[in-house]
Amino acid sequence: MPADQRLVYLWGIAGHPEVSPALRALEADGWEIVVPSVAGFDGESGFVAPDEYLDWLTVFWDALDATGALPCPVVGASLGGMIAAELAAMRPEMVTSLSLLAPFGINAADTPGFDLYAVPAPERMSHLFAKGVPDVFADRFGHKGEEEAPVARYLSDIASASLLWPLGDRGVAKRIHRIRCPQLVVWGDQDELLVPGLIERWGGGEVIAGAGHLLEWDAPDEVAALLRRHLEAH
Amino acid sequence: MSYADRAEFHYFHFFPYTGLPADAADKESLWVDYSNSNYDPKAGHVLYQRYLSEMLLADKLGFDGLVLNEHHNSQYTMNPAPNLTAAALIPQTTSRISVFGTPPNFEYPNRLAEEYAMLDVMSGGRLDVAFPLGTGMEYWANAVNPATARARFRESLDVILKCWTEDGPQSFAGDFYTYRYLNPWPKPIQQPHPPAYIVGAGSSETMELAAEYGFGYSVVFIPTSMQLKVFDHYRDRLVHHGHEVTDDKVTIGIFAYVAETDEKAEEEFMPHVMYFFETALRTTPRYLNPPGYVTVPEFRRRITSADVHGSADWDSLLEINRIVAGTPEKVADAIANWVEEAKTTRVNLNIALGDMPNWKVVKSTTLFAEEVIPRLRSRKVVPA
Repeated sequence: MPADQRLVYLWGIAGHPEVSPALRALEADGWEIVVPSVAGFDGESGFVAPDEYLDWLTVFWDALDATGALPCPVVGASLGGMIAAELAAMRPEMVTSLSLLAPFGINAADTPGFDLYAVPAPERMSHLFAKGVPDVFADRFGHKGEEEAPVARYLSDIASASLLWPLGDRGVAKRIHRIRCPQLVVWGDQDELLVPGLIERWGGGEVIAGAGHLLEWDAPDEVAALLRRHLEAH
Repeated sequence: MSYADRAEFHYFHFFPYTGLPADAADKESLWVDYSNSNYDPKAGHVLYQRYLSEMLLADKLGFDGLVLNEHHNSQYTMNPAPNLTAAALIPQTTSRISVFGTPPNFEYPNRLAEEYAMLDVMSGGRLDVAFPLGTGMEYWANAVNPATARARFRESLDVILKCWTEDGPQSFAGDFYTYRYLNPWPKPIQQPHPPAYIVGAGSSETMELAAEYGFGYSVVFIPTSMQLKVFDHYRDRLVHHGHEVTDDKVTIGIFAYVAETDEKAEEEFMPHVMYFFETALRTTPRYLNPPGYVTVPEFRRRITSADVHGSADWDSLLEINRIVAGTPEKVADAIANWVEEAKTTRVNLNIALGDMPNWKVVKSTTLFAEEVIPRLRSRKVVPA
C-alpha cells in the first residue's frame, strides 16, 4: 500500500470525537484518513441547521471540496453513509470506491427501527453500540463542562436529526443506480436503529455478528479487515 | 374604568377524550405514541355532542367568545381540526369564535389563510385566531422536521398576512413555500384581518415575534409572576415595533370554578384540575423538546425549568397558574386582581376541564355568567 494513499471518512449519527479503532488500523497500514469539518456535529455554538436536504448536501460538498482529498475512496458510517452514497450517486467522478457501514438513507416504514430521539439524550449512546459505549462517546462533550455539555449535545442532535428526522429515509433508493464505483456494505446484526435486513436494499453485503449500529467501534477487527480487502481490491 | 369593568370572557373548551382505560395511569406519556386503539369512536360521538352543547350554553349565557385549540396524537383534545368545530358552532352562536389555533407549520399557509377567511366571512366577522408554533409533541405527529420549525413558522405567517392584506394575484418566493399565483378567495371580512395572537411558553423569541407582527400575545406554563414581566416586556417591544398597545393585546388564561361555598367549589374542582395536569397533559420531556424545536437560549431555560407536563401538586399549580375555586365573590375578586395586574381585558376562561362531568360544567358556567361577570362589570379597581 503506497504511503500517500488517502480516504475520506464521513462520521455517523453521534459525530466524530476521534478516529475509530477500525480506521486506526487502516492508518497503521499507511492510509491517511481525511475527515471534513462540518458545523453542528462539533457542538459548537452558532450552528443553524440548513432548511432543506439539498442545502445540507451543499454544505457537505463544500466541506469535502475544501479537503482537496477527492477523488478518492470514501468510507461513510451511519448518517455519513447516507452522505457518502449521495456523493457517489450525484458526483460519481469524485468517489473511486465506496464503503458503507450501516448507512441511513433507505428505510422501511414497516420496520422503522429504534427511535433514537424518543429516549432521553443521556441514554441515546447506549442504543448505538452492542458492546458497551466507548469512553469517547460516553463522555461526548464532557470537556465543555456540566452546563455546556447538554447544549453541545443538543446542537449535535439538531445537526443529525435535521438530516434524519423522522425515519432517516431521504429517498436514496431512487438514486443508488447512479453509483458506478465498487461498493462495500457492512451491517451489524445487533443494529437497533436500522434493521440488518435493509442491507438487501443496498444490493447486499456483509453482516457482522454481535455488532451494533456504530459497528466500526463494536467490531473494529472485522470492519478493518473488510475495509482493507475492499480498498486493496479497488 | 377598571380592566375588570371591560373584561371579555372567552369560554375555552379543550374537548378532551376521557374514559381512558385503567392502565393509562401506568403510561409515561399520553401523547404522541399512546395508542389510538384506546379511542372509542362511539364514546367520542357522545362527547362531541356534549361539548358542543356546553359551548352553546356558554354562548347563550352571554360569554364574549368561544375558544378552541388544536393538538394531535393525544387524548388531551378531540380537536385536531378546530376549524371544523368552529364551522359547526358559527350558525348556532352569536359570540366571537376563537381558533387558538392551527399551527401554520402543519398546513399549507395559503390553505390556512383561506380557511380562516372562510370562518370570518361565514361568521360575519366574529373570528379571532392564534398562531401557535405547536408543542414539541406535535412535531412527532406531523411530517415537519422540528429543526425547521421556527423559520417555517415565520415564513408561514408572511404568506398568511399577504393572503389577507394584499389583493391578488401575488407571487411569493420563500425557503419553504413558493407561489406564482397567491390569490385566495375569500378574503376576511375584518380589516385588515381578524384579530391575531401568538401563544408562547415564555421564550423571548416567540414574544418578540408577536410584538414584531403587532399580534396579541399569551403565555402558558410559566409562573404568573414571570408572565407579568414578559407582558411588560412585550408591550415595550410592541411600541418599539411601532404598534399600538391596546388592552386586549394580552390574553390571560384562568381556571375558575364557582359554587355555593369556597369549600364546595374546591372540592368539586380540584380532582378535575389534577386530572388535567397529571393525566391529560402527561408526556415526557423528550417529546416536549424534539431536536431543533427550541432555540439554544430556550433550550438552556427549559433544562433548568420545572416539568409541568404530568407532575403536579396543588400548591405549585396555584403558583404557576391562575386557578380559583369559590363563591362568586371570591372568584370575582381573584379575577379582578389578575386582569388589573396583567393590564388586560381579555380572559380565556377554563371551566370545563379534564374529566369534569357535564353537571359541574353547566353549574359553574351558569354561575359564572350570572353571578361573577355582573360583579366584575359593576366594580371599580380592587386592591391587590
